[in-house]
Amino acid sequence: MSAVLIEVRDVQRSFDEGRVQALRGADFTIEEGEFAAIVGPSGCGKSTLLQLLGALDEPSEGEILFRGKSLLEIPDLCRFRAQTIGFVFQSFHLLPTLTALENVQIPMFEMPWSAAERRRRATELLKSVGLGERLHHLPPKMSGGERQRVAIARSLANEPQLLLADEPTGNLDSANAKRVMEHLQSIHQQRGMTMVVVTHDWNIANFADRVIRILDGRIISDNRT
Amino acid sequence: MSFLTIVFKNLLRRRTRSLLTIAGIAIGIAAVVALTSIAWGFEKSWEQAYRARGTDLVVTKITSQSPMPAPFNEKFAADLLKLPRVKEVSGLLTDLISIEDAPTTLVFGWALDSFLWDHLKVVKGRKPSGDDEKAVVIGTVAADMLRKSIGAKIHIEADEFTICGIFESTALVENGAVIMSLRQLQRVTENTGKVNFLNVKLEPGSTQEQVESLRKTIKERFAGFNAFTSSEVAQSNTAIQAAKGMSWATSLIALIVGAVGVTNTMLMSVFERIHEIGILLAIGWRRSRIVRMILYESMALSFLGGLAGVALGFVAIKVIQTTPMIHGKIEGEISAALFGLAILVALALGVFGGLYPAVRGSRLSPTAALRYE
Repeated sequence: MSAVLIEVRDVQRSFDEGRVQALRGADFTIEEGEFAAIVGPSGCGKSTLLQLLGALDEPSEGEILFRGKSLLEIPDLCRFRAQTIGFVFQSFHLLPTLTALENVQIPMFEMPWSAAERRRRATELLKSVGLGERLHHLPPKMSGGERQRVAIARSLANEPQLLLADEPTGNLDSANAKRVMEHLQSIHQQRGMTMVVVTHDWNIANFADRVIRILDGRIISDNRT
Repeated sequence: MSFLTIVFKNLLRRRTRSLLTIAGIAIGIAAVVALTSIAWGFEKSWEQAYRARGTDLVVTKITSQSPMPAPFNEKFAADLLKLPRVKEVSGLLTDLISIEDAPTTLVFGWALDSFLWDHLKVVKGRKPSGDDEKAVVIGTVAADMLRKSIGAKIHIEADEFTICGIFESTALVENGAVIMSLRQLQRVTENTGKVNFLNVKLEPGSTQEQVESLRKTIKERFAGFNAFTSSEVAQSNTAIQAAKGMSWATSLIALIVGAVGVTNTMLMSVFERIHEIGILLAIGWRRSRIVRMILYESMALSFLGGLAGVALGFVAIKVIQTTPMIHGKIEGEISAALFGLAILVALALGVFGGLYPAVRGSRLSPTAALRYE
């Protein structure tokens, strides 16, 4: 049995002074090297949960532990995110004025690497997602699938221990969606990286080894394949 | 890619806005450069005047703030001559008088046997021959300004004088002046037996310490009097202080306008990029890096505005010097120190104008910023 990477303890998250309950008590663990999917319809609280796992937000109740340490006890969450977590978003969230190569280098400014080292690593990452010929292209000149692959390369920039993907195929056609998921699956297999993908699409969830279903802010099932 | 690449790419996104901000800063810095240059030049020209006369110390009466020190009894010169190392003391009367149609002109009254005349080069005619002669010499710039030549009559207050000579001085401020015998100016200004400056020349080879010691002695022994070195007398001159004060006040207004412009530009830039700042925070950029990015952007704008402002300011100085009111009287000082000061002020403007937008940008919540469209 692998070590526990993340432990979610009765996490609740409400907004608007408690009027909106996005999460109503989530309890689960994610083990090192696991590939989990959190599935549910729009507005069920799955993206909120992902943001909490990624230390972008804090729970209203309960706590999240990373390798046994509460996220609330981590003094510099920016540094924690930079060194530990990779994010892939539905809308890619690339900087439009920077080339693919430059976008991938953005997180690396938080690492003690030289400019040459940053460039070398970014080039390798883009090649690994099949974009070796598109290094100097700006995001607006790339297809949705290419942009998401740039975002995947960026999420791997600092060699994170956990990759969090929020509807990574939400803006892609089915062919590109499949390709992106195959890339994520391959990264998971080759690097043994822990991954959590949030999706509403069962076809995407089926790429994962474990599916956590969520409805109205509550986990309703948790199945390993 | 370096961090500065991101900074410059951000600035190049809104080229027109960046250029307009640079132009705004440039105008502010140009005002600082031009006004400071003229104030410094004004001070320098007075300093040159005292140096050219060979004056080691200038003694005046401590008076309330007025353009010229109050006159005092000229016999005080004899007391100063008794002090150690004092070689010569020459009393002079100086006043600002409006002559005919010309703007206010400096008029000096010098004893005809004084060492003060030694540095003047009479290019046409001669100096007044005696205390009774109602004659003046005028500087080359004053001759241009008054449109007068040798033999012409000139009206000073209620009297008519004949121009007997035209001179040139190494000190710009003297070139725009009119000089007559001390007795004549005392009579014209109703200050018989009085002077308002005593120029003291020490024995050759006197050291800085000896000059300083004499200065202390004068201040201690003669209550109500002050002694200055040539550079200090320029600094303590009320007119120079007023010019410097005006230049700083005007510069400050220009700088405040510039800082508001930078703040406005950077705030707009932050508001436009809330989503992007959210991305940067989400992928782990520290808040201090966000602050640095925005501050570097505002400092880059200010630095470029500063360079353009220095160039514009130097052009403005040349233009101002050609105006009839200023021509020949003041030479703006263009120096490395002024360039350095202007660039430093510009960078400070960038920091000041960019600080609030930078802090505001860095305090965004990553989740709220990511949702922002």
